[in-house]
Amino acid sequence: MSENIIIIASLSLGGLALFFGVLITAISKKFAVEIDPKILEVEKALPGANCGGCGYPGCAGFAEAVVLAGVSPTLCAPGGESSVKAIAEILGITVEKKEKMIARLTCNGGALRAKDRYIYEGIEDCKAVKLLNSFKECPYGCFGFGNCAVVCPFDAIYISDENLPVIDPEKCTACGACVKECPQDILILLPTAKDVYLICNNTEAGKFVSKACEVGCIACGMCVRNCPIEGAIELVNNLAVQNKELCVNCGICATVCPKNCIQDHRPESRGVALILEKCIGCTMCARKCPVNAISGKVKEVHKVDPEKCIGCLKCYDVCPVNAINITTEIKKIPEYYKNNQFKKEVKEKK
Amino acid sequence: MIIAKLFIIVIGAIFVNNFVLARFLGICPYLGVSKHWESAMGMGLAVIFVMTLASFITWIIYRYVLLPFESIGAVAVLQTITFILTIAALVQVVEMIMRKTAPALYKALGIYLPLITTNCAVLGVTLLNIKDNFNLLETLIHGFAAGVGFTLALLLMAGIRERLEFAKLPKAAQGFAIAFIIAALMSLSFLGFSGLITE
Repeated sequence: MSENIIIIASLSLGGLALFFGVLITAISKKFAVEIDPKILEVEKALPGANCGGCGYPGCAGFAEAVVLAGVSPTLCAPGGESSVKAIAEILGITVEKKEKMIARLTCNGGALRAKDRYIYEGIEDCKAVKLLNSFKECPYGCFGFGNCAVVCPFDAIYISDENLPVIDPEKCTACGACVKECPQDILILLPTAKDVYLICNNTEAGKFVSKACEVGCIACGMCVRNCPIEGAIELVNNLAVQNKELCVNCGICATVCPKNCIQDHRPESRGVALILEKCIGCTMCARKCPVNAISGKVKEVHKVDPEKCIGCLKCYDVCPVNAINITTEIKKIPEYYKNNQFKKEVKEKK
Repeated sequence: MIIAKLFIIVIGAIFVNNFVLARFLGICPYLGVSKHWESAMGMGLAVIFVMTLASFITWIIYRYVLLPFESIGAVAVLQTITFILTIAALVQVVEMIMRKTAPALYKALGIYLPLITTNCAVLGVTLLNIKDNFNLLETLIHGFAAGVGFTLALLLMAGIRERLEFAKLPKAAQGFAIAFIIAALMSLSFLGFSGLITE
């Protein structure tokens, strides 16, 4: 009896499955719809992470939108330049180059530096903490429960021993998932070239900030006074806010900040530039220098005025023959700018 | 008499034993596709269509394929898995035919069809048809009414959630958290229908 059940079950089910299989195959052949092969190609060129950062349902949806609706392929952050290039080739269009971005954390008050107000023993989730009052003295800081690390589709974030998220610049694709997730709004997308930025969000007066956190911005104005370019950093709402257009990422503000709340991602390499004999005189560095500290004629070795140089490394990055050496570190604003000479020059130009 | 029975089946499937709010079937699309009124409508229509069709086909298969082997217990063993297979294949076939022959209809319903291939509400209605010993007409009516009941719940939910978009909610309660709470409240309110039909 029991064998009968097995045989009949497998036969009838197998028969049905075979019937449906044949039916589906036949119908799929007969009713095949032609899809634009470009859509498939574009989909292949995309990273396939289905992160949804572009605002479309998955990579397939985005590919369709790119091909049919003419949506810009630059919306795909994870794909970056390579996929944009591939898509542009498939569609035969030219796409404006988009600046590479990266997610940055703008809080440095981890477990060690920011004081706790009470011991939090609730659910280990940033959004749950947000419902209550912050358990930290600073209501603007990072809770450190790592919601951002959980939502990151590229595994680019981990939580350090100090309970602060650390973003892996290699893995981060600037899809913006963590920025959307963070209830404190302290994760932001910045261009990768932006090395120097403020890592504090506390808008309270300096008195309260310094009580709550060792590394909070107290709006002392050191950065503003030492900035070689007028208006590139200003105090707004008790925070030192950089002006995106004027700031040249020289990192002087980061060196002078008494609270270390301005992050500089290349602090070791900064210093006065010195041009070696190799210089081929392409004038690239002179054109890039934001403070006109480099002089020289075409096809001749250029010279840096060490009094003027602010160590922004722009010339170093742009030199095609690596003829630029970085020498002594700059600890404060060069004397040359003390009388606001350059500040005026820039202002008149604007 | 027949009409009275059919009427009871319809009222029962839409209100008293609403598939979402009383039987708790098909919660996945109920929460997933109820963000906007238009998509809820599309999903609802697709479910009505699939439920009616699936009820019909599975009833035929049950009657002429499974029942002849009942003496050796084939029904108990095979019913569920056969129905799952049938529904999945059916939806695939319908989707492909619709895509070719009625692109406008496919645009409206098509994207929701794959979502309900293995939906428990669709499987539930086909199994209930058999359990309640419905004849073919009753099966069709029950399938249709169950779909209507599902659509009703989905549309009510979508209407509420569209208004919720403008409500000020704490970040932790936004999205699915509040949707679940609303689903629970709606389910409680549908409990009010429970005394409507006395067997």
